[in-house]
Amino acid sequence: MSAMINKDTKVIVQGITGSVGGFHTGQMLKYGTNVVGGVTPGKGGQEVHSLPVFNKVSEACTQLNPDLSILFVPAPFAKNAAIEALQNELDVVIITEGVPVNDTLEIINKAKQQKKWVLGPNCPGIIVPEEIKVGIMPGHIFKKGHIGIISRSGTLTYEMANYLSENNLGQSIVVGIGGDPIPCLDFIEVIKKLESDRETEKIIIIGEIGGDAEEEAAKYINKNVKKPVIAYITGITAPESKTMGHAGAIVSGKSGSAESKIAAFKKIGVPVASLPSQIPDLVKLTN
Amino acid sequence: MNLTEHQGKKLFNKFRIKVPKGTVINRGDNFNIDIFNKFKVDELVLKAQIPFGKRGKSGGVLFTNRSNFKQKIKELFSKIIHGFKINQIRAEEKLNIAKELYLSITLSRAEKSYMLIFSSEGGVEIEEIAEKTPQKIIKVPLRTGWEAEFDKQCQQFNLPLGTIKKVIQISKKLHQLAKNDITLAEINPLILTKSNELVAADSKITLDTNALFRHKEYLQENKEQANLEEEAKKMGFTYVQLDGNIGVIGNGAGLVMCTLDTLAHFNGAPANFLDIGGGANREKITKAIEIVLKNPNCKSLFINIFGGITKCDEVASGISNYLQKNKMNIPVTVRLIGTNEQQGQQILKQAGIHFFKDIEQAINQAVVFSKGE
Repeated sequence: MSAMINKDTKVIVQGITGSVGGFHTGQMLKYGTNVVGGVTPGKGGQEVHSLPVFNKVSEACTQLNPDLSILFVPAPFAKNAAIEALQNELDVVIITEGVPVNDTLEIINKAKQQKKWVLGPNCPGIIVPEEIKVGIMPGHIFKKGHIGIISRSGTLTYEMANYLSENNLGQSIVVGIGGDPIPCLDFIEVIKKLESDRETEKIIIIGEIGGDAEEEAAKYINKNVKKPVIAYITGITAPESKTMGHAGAIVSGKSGSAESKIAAFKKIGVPVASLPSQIPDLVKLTN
Repeated sequence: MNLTEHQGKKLFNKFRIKVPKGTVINRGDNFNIDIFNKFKVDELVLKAQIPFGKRGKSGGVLFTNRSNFKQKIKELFSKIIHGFKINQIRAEEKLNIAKELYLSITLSRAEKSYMLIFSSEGGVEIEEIAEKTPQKIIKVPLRTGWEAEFDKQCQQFNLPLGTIKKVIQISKKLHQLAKNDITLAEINPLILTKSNELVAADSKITLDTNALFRHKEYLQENKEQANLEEEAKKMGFTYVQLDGNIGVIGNGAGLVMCTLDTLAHFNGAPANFLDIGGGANREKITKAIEIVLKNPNCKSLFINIFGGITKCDEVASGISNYLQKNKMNIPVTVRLIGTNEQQGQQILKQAGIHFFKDIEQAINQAVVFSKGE
């Protein structure tokens, strides 16, 4: 039984009638995910992949009793869609890219009130290999096993999972928290879930430049995590962005750079790969 | 998106934050010295309007009087600062400064909320102060009841009586302003005048680009970005020009950054960063190739796609369409796996385009090509 989702999790798709939502509903069904229906305002009564479509989340809930909703809703409407799902007591995965950060803050507050988790926005979703996939990742590169992955980058997650699978290192759960400056679930909240997940033996953290989430995660791991952790940080050679004011520098000081993040992990004894291809060996060597 | 000082000050006016008396002069405008009479002053400050900080240190701020007004304006319009041509100048009254303070509101990633930052030591050296004497900078998350905490922490500054109360008032207005999709609202310096008033001498406002659909007025006004970056942005790409000679196209910021890091590891030098985002179709791929090849430094093109929401068959069709219609003068290396990879790889095979599945093998090839070997 996995930490956040398992093979019995019932999923609905908000934005199921769009081309992306429709395509990935098909991919999730093919993977074995228990997708039970979808929601698109104004399209109630239609069917997609033989699944019923409703106008409202509440209607879908009455009929189908789902646990989780995945959103493929355009950015300007994502906030209301997520809040509708939370009001109906569903966990939420927001795939949508380009959600305004003020909208994300409202979603975070609503999730806290409802005691539900929200993954994203701008994330690839979550997968328990060979059981359930709630997201847009290519399912065939993942393999069942005992490595947990937490990542800020979608495509880089695929890169890592692919290297692991090719080296016979399966994954227990792979969680993309999304690339936005403020994600709903953050590194620490997901690390907590993986630390208590019985299937997960080792944890890989994939971070990138910007903010101080990796530095904070390192502090948390040092105090609270017993499972072995391996990290990869991208953006060592990225050009300095053209930031304008001083507030960013005041808030996070020197943290934010790849060097700072790599140093933070190395300081607490977490090995950091300098190329994705080094990850399998580091995973094998770290105990 | 960074707003110019003038755009920011218009927002300050709207939220009743006091700014110096000022007016805007556009390139090509007929301007005359009536401004001095209108403002009842003998000296004015001329400030270049560019969406970028550290303007004063780069000669973007000049002082002027009635006799050299026209000459100074001409001088400022002829400058290029941080790569930006100056199309607008803000002319402003000089203030009677008693003290320079620092005030900003920004989103704190760690707190997941807005945070107020204040210091009694405002001005251009604020970052140095933050590093060397962090205790002189106050940071308070803007949650219910923040005013009392802020007031308590400000006692160390020995500011004139009533100043803190005024700072709290301005902060509340700035907070209201920030709630309109502003991720940074900075006043540096916030001037305490000799007549004990607080005036925002500068404005640095960053608008959440994701929220531009709610603020279309700025789309028209801010066309200052370098051309390729602007062209890329219109397509939904992120493009940054770099110094090397390997053109890079990839999907997802993390994967593209990883591509740059890995290129550097194998002694290659990227000519650019181009992230096509998620779910690009064949037309977008073709457009991305066009944009990258406009950089004359490109000696080798590397396309790195790990499909998730992006489909490999769409990518392959985009590459193949481009090659059918255009003569390529430089070698192309393609790495293509993920969603619909079999269909995508089949399309490449039919078009006679060699591809890799492994990122490091592909990068090695792209680096070899870039050295003309």
